Amino acid sequence: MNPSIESASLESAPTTAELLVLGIGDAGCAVLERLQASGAESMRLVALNTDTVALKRCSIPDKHLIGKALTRGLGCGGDSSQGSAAAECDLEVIRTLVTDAKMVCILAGLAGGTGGGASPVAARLARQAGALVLAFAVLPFDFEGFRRRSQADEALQSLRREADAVVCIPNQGIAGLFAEKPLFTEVYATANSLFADGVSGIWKAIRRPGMVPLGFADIERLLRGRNAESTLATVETRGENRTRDAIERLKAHPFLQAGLALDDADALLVSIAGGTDLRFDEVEWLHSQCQRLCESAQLVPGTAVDDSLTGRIQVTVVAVRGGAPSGNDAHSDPSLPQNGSKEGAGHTRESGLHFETMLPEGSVKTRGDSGFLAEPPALSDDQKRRLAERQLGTGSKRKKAVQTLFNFDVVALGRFAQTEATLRNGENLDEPTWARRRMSMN
Amino acid sequence: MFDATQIIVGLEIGTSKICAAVAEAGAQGELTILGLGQCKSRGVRKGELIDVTKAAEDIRTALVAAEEMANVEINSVFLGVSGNHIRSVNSRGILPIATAHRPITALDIEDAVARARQLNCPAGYEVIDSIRQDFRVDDQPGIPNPVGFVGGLLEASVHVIQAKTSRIETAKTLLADMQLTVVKPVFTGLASALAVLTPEQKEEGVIVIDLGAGVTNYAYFQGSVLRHSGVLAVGGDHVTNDLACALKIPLEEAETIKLHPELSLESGAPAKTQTIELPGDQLRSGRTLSVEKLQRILSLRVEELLEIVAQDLAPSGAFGGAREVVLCGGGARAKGIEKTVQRILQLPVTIGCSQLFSGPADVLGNPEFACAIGLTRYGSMKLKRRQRGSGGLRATFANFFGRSA
Repeated sequence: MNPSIESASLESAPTTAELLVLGIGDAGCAVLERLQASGAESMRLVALNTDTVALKRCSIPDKHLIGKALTRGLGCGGDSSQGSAAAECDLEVIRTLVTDAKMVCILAGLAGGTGGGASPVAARLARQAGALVLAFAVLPFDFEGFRRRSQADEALQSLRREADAVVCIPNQGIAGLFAEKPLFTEVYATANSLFADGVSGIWKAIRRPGMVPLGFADIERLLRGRNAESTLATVETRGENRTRDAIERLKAHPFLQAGLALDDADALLVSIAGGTDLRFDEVEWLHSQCQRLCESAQLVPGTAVDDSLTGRIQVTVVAVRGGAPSGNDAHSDPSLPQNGSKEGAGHTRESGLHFETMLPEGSVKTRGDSGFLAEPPALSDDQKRRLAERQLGTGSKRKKAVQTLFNFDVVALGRFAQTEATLRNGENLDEPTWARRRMSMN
Repeated sequence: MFDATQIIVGLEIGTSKICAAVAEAGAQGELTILGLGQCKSRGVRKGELIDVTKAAEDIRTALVAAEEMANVEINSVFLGVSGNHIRSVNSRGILPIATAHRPITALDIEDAVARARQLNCPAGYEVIDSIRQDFRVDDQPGIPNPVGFVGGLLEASVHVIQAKTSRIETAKTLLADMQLTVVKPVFTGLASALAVLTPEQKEEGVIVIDLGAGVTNYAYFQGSVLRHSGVLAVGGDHVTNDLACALKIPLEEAETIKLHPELSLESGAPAKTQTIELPGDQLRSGRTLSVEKLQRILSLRVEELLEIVAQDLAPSGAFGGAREVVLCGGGARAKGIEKTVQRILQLPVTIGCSQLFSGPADVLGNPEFACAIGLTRYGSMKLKRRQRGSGGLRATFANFFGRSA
């Protein structure tokens, strides 16, 4: 073990006070309880609700009633505007909670009034306080109906604007998990525990000292300011075929929509943890399999050894899709390929040819259609510059390469190139929808 | 002065095909489709002419086919127009009745409608249609026909459809060169609705969406009145183009894939492993495409299209008033389209076939011909009005939709 790496990762790992988990609304509080039951070490759990009765039932010690002036402690009745108004009433309460937190996780069911309404407000406040905001949002079951679904969609949109990253968890996916007719409580319990596993999984991944450390900084760099939509899954397997099982279970994981979410991912964070018996070939194989699941994505690997996990292997995957990092451009030079410079350069040349006529600046289109291009951590500034120069032919054009972040604005209009553009809501509808929505074509 | 029967021709210059329908109107106004001619369209994009020479050839082919089938000579047509330049507005015309305690006459109504018609017409545009909705006499709203009412102020609500004069004139000149008179340009969205809707549907509330190749036309009827209509210059061609761009293949090939029987817009659980083989030839090697990916390209476009239509319809109250959605046009043949529409508009969906016509079943049952057939109905109603108009009433602006249909 390399001691310098380990100490570096420990330094960047936030301590107890730094992770605040906010459970908002009934669904959020339920997950919070589950999280507490599974031993939420070194995180501060806080429950927020507009409903006195529900809050009284909640077993979390640190709980706050919000919007008492508005709802008199009777809840929002499923109205998200009430929920956000309630949060606005008690801005100070939330603001006090989020100060000093380095990372804030918001857990909420978006179909509900409190969860859907108050969580964007809480996310905004936490972000203002300087924390990295991760929102874990539960989307309703299909049976909950159109209105709740559209309310959840709306809440998701505003949450995406406010939070650094939103992890979406579609409840309906869980219903598909059960082969036979499950009990109602069973489905909910599974939903909550999968959810809690995800939150604690990602937190453990950050905190655990590793051979290939995955620190708070990695997560932050991946997510900060991206307003991205993410999905996460944690699986734990044991026994002979544990690596193969882990991949199979990941593929089948309801949160990953049967692998669909991975297909689309722009970046994939993979954290592998095992006991002292973790073999090198296992790690190698798992990482390569994860990369195969989403060939176009940037892989952020992490591996850690934890004595308590002996005999088992735990894989946590965070797939990030959409959004663009708002970090300064000096650090995220988009002209650089993310992994395997050879392959990336080949792709560049091919795309460059294809778009030559449309992009007069001889634009460099790295990584095809993936919207997000992050800094390759292994390269020094000098190496980066040289790589960029090689790709562009000259060093002086490097600035123009930055433009390629917006390469979706110059998409082939094909058949409609000669016609009057059909403009609606600031978009040219003649451009393919998949390109405007940044669907990956790899 | 008129024959017992009349021949009416509807001509639709569409993006994918040019279609001419010949109908015979009986003495009671009943319509029989005698002939239908169609030809692949090469000179039209997004509902508007881009190549007049090619379009003229195609129109001639379609008309000749229709003439042969119906055994008539065509010299005047009702021309369907659509495209991004079509504007629909609900307008109000107010007419003070100078002497109070005088019953309102048909002439007053025409004056009020004419005033509504003229409002809000930008330069370069002309009114191609004005459809009466209802009237208000002083403080009494919602009167379908105010003749005989007494009041001081008559207010007419009219749905006005405007089009760019230059586009209409281009088409008219083109047809004039072929010795054809355009009786009237008609908005195709309206024509399709006339073909596929029954009076009951119009009374109860219905949305018609005509999913064409170049444009999507839509209209919302409620209480036998046209409440809203519109055009979105996005259609089936865009779907093809999306596929062609995504797969980097020629448009014809993309069109073949789009129509592949394995593809559906709505699928229960898309098997990730399911694939479609794209045959290769001398120039390119064959490819295997994932069904799931193709379906996402298609459904992204169709969903976006429908969402925009829904956004546009919402302010007119269509989602409170409509009981169902009727689809027509070539897009109505897309697999799974009903489910997608149902999911996005939250209303029951049917595929429209031409109602209340006699004629060959394969022509009437085909949603693609709804527009051309609807044009003949529009024509028959128009001519009926004129006939009646010759009896003394200036009924050119008469209310021929809904109530009289």
